[in-house]
Amino acid sequence: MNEKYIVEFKNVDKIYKLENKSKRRFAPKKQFYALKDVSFNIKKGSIVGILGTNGSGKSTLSNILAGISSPTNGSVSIRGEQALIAIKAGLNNQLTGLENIKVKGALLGLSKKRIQEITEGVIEFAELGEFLYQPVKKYSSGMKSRLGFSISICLDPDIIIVDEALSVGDKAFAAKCMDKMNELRTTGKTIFFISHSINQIREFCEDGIWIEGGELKAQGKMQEIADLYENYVEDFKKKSKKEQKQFKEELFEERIVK
Amino acid sequence: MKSVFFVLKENITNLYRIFSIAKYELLADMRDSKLGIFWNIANPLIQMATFWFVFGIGIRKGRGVGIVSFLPWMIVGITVWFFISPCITKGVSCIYEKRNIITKMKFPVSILPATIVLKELFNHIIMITLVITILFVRGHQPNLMWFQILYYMFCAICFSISLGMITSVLNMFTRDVKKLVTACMRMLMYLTPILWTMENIPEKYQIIMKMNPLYYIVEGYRGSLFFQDSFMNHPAQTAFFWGLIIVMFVIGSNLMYRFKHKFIDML
Repeated sequence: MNEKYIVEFKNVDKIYKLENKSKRRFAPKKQFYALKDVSFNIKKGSIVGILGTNGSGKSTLSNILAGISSPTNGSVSIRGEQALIAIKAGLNNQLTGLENIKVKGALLGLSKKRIQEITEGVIEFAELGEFLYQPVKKYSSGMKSRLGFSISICLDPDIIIVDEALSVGDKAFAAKCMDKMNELRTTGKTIFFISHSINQIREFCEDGIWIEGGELKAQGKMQEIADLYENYVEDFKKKSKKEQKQFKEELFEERIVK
Repeated sequence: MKSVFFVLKENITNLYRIFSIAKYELLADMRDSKLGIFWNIANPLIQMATFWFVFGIGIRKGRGVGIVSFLPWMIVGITVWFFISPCITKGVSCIYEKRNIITKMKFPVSILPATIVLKELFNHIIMITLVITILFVRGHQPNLMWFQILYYMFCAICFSISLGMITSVLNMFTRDVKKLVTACMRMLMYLTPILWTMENIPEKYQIIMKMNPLYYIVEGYRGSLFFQDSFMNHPAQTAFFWGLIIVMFVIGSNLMYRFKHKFIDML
């Protein structure tokens, strides 16, 4: 244990059971490593970008970071409150925008006083205007995301995990979110940032983690990690269809628990 | 023991969260229809009228229960049933229904049974107020014993929450639990003397029927409102009821505690 680190992952495995292809229901199930032997340490106040292709285990990692899911093996120690920025979770379609601020605030565990404090800020940030008094079912998907994001960001956790949250909404709103994230970063929060937009990540993050096939490929300065990752993706793209398929199958085979 | 304290603490520190969830879910339900809260009252009234016609006039031919006529006797019983029954059937799926939330944020799952019960309690308080008004209008003399229904209300709340803790976790393993509970509730509705009396049942079966916790609650409401019957007159039943609640609560909190981080993997 080192006090310097706010997040410590030590040999973390996450294993899922796979359903059988065959109809025999009681045949032994295959097990699958969503994460395999992942270890890393993160200092307080770091801005960490997490890269990886689809299905590499990013979301599993973010769930474990957020304390929603627990690892199968290994140990995770987190010093501080963590929050996953989940945009669409907890909005009720029948209720108005204003009521939803209270609902989601309460779901996230804010006190009544705190909800009153944030309401003004959320209304302003979400730019809903007259729609504030309309039921959320009438909102466009962009509006919903704006409302959801604005509420989530008003929590005051020590660790913030952003999983693909900023890829919704238009450019202007994304820019606004980035501004807000930058503001949070100056307050010394630790931020995990998961995105496929490599430019956004390069711009925003200092440290990087790259996971592939459930395993930690590299950890270090963001720019270097992003270069490595981009090379990897380019290499993969250059391969023929058949090679790509074979490569993926090999990767999958490695993840089956023996 | 640790798990019991954990669940109690989680519920007590999150009272505002429980209250808000229940409040806004009720509000959302009401927004769904034009007449809103009207249906919360009209639905049970329609069912009561049907039961009264079938059981009161059809089967009992208007005969009363002891000193009380059948209609008030039945509506008190059925009002209690209309409280506990949805608590139990909705309690089973309370975690599963919130899967969108528990997979997206850190959430104290053990408060979910309480939110369901609180939501139903709101409807129950409206209904029981209505029923008491009817009793008063029909000439039943109010007395201090009427306040004893608060005790039995508390019994019903504790029972529903404890049972919800167990069934909701089991329902995460397999959704068959929900089907099973629904089937059992249909059976229990007739195995609890809500629409009929036990006078024709042989003594040895009566003892088994009295072990049904719903019997204790339903008869308790009636005892308080009609027969000036204190719960102190039934020490054995009371002890058995609370013993059962404690056992269920301990089992329920152990399940909650053990699986609190596992729910996401069960979906």
